[in-house]
Amino acid sequence: MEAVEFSEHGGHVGGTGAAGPPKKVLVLMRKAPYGSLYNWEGLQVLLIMGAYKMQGAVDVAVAFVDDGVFAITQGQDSTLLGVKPTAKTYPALPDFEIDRFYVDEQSLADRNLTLDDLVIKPEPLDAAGMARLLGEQDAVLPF
Amino acid sequence: MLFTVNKSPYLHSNLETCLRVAPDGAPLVLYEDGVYAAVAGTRVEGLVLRALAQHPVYAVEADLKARGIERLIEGVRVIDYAGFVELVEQHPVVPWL
Repeated sequence: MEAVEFSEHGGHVGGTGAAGPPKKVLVLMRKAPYGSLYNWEGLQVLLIMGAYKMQGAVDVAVAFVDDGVFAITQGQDSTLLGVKPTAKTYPALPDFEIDRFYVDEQSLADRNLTLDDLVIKPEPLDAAGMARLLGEQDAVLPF
Repeated sequence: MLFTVNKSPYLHSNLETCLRVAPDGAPLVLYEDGVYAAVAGTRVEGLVLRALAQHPVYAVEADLKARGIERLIEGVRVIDYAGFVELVEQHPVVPWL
């Protein structure tokens, strides 16, 4: 896997409409929501990446690993914290062309969670599957 | 002496080191991402189970609700902000950040 670099031409993501296959980008969620801004920032980036995907510039996937799986658990009610529940945004991402979701099954098991506890239905991957996914990417954006 | 932990037990060792030095009987408050330690059946559940043998363990309601946590380890006491403040008033606080 190359270092984080979206375009050989040194431009922004997708360059200036140059032809070529879409760059494969993985947004890697590893932090819990609410305790820090990482998860919220990752979500903003996903919404932006959706626009690039619509132009055919990138192929975007999202992987939830470690505490990142907490971002998509059901039943979040952040009223008392006075902030928006971020989990509600994930089911809407397919409307923004972000529809490839993966989850590290070991991270779920460590936290006594199953796919049924989640607000979306990501594809569960074992360690080998995660390694394959990471290896396919042109860039990994960590949050 | 009141100990407070606000970091995830999966990515940080705060809870573990806090429990190593906290005197017997000292209350422990889990808040923010610290409340993930209070979930039953997880890989890290042993930390809070051990803590409960020697300390009163509290988890802050607002943080539990925000994270959708319902399956708590038996013995963990849920407190609201008022309860948190009460504990802070009754003890010298050691924030284990």
